[in-house]
Amino acid sequence: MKASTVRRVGGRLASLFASLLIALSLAFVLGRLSGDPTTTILGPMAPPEQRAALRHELGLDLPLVVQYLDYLKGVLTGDLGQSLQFYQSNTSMIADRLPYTLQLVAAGMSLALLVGVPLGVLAATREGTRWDRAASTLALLGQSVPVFWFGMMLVVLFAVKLGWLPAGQSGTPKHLVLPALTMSVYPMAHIARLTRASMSEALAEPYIDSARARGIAGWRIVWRHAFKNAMMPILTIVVLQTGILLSGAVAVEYVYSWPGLGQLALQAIQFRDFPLVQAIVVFGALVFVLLNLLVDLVHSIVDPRVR
Amino acid sequence: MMIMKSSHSRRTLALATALAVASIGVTACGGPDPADSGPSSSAPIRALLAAQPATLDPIVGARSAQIVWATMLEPLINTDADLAPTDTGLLTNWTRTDATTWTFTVRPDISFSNGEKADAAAVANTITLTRDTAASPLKSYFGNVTSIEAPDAGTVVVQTKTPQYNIPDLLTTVYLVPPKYYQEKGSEGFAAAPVGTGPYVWAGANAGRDISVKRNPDYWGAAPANEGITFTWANEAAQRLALIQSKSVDISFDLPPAQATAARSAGVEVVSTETAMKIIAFLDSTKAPFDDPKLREAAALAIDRDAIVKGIFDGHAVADAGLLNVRPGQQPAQQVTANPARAKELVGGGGPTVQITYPAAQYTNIEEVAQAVGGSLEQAGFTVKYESLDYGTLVKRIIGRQVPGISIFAGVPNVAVPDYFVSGFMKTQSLTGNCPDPRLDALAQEALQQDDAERAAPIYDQLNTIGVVEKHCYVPLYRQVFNYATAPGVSGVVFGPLNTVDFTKTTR
Repeated sequence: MKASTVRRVGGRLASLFASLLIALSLAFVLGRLSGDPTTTILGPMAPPEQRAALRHELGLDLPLVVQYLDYLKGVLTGDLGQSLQFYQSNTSMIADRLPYTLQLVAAGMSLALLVGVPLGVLAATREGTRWDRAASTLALLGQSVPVFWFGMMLVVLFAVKLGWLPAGQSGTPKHLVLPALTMSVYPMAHIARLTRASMSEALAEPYIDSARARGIAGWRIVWRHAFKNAMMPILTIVVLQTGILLSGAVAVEYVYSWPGLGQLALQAIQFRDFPLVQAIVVFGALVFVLLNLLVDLVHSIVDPRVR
Repeated sequence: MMIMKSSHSRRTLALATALAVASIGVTACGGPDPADSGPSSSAPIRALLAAQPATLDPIVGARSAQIVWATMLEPLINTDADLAPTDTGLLTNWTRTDATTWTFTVRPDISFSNGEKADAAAVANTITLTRDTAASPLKSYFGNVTSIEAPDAGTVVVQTKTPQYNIPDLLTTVYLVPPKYYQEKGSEGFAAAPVGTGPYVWAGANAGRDISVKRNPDYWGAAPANEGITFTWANEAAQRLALIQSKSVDISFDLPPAQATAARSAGVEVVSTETAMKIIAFLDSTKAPFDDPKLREAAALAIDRDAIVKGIFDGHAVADAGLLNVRPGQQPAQQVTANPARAKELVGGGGPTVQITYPAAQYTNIEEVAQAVGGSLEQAGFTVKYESLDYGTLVKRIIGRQVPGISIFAGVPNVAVPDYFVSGFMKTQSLTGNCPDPRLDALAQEALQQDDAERAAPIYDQLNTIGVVEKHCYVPLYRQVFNYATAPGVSGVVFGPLNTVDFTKTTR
């Protein structure tokens, strides 16, 4: 491996590590600012001496620096502490909920790709036509409509009025339809707009004219020549959007009472269960950092110039 | 011209395909669906809660989870419809041997569902755990208890430092745990599969998704009318409404007023029950402006609780004129009635400034209530400032005596004893400490030393009159009403004002 490559990889890893450390520190500070957890556990009526005893038991009476170092040590050893409301290991709770969120994100992102990419290609290949305008309007709507509202409307229509699909909760593939659809709307619109822009640029390149002059079929020009060159930004956004969805599934999970990490985070916040909030933030930050690394890897695989 | 090698595009396409296939794969995963179990009469009752229950360990758990653990575990003493202790539960008799000694008789021949004996030793162990565990929310209730002994299998003797008449009342919220199993499993292990003496036994849970209990075939009491209960939860109230409307659940708990009204309009049966949760305005008599008794009286006369209940809650709350009337439906004889004209007279022309502090989003419509209280005060001539805090911060400031003016928050008793409010709000060393007065401290102690609740009642009336009517340190506002909806054909849900639910008679 070249020295410059090693330097670049090292620099990238250092920057990702720094991002992670900042996220961990912020989670720690915000946890400490969120009020006294003993109020939540013991109720407001508990006498001061009982609060003090509990604070001692939880290690909250230690100097902040010691608490911070203990916390970092815990993160490094995979121990994300214990929930104040569930009295369970936060790591095991995240592990229990993660499959649900992954399921939702995978389904939502697949739907977003399956609709967003063709929509963007359609708009780019028919630039200025009604198709283009319709696709762009759809994408604009997808990016503007509030997820919460959209989710509730789907529930009212498909669950309450028509009775075709469950209103929420989880368990069967049917339960996934509405949450995945809701989850897909924003990334679908984003992917469609980006695909359109990227494809328009690629279709204006001289090699496309050359391919046309050689009599290559239209669909082949679009998908095998233009699309593969337009793919890099789309892939980047897909990976980054996946990270955003993983850490931002709160609204969708809330609307559909989907038992994923988002709902767990919300309940932890409502209960001021700061060790659990911290653990979820740490996990989200870690996922985001790893996905950024994945973007770099994908870049280097797809585009040899990046290697 | 720059066209990538086709192998690169194949790789990227393969990546995208893998994503899609993986998603379809995981999508197909999933266990049986509790909500799809259909409305057959033998299927478990599907109960929808407002949040995932916290730990199911009753020693350290928040009372919000009681609705689940109380299906498997039983309180040491049962209560009747009036929330008074009765002899129908695990403890069948109690006598005050002397002023500071209580002797309890344990129901014979009761066992936990794991076979452990539910005897006096188990009862003593549970009370000891409740008193001594640092994270026990009920620890402070038993601060006066000096010893707990089980001289034989059927007797428990509890001694207190000073006389305390309400020990049996306090035991109505202590749930019996099996000593060996609890010690062996620890709090986390116990919560993962609770064992009790109740009408249901643990049937399993899907993490984050549901908790199931099934009928206990060896239950000592009357067998439940259903096979079991599956608890699920939805934080969003509109979702709880949608799930009951779409018949995905049999009972949907905790519908806020707007959703309860919407449910009724849609033809769903909604039951509304007055709870023991009281919303109170606390006036800090130790700091300006309410260190002036005249201004406290003015504020108390300015606030119109009936208008608040009518205007903001549209019937989903009950105006409450007392501080120590714990049982729903009770009202004190002595009350303060709104009199805006007199309030204005008392304020005069000074326009003193009052800060109103309340916990943001902690209780239904609390923002509107704070605004209504502030509006009434402004009409009387006060200048009002508002401060909205998160609940934890508000409590911290109240404990630190840093909330001047008015603070509005709830008293949510676990047991129906006036001392809950006296110790919490009226004593000099209470949570709020907003009305320090040696008279109140002395009366509080005197009330506890009475032989029983009947003899203590006039003293509590006196305390209420001093705090609310004479000194105007407290302006009780209203009691919360709890709404739940039931699916067609579902009956027999018994909801208690202290957030207890009896499912044993529930049928579908």
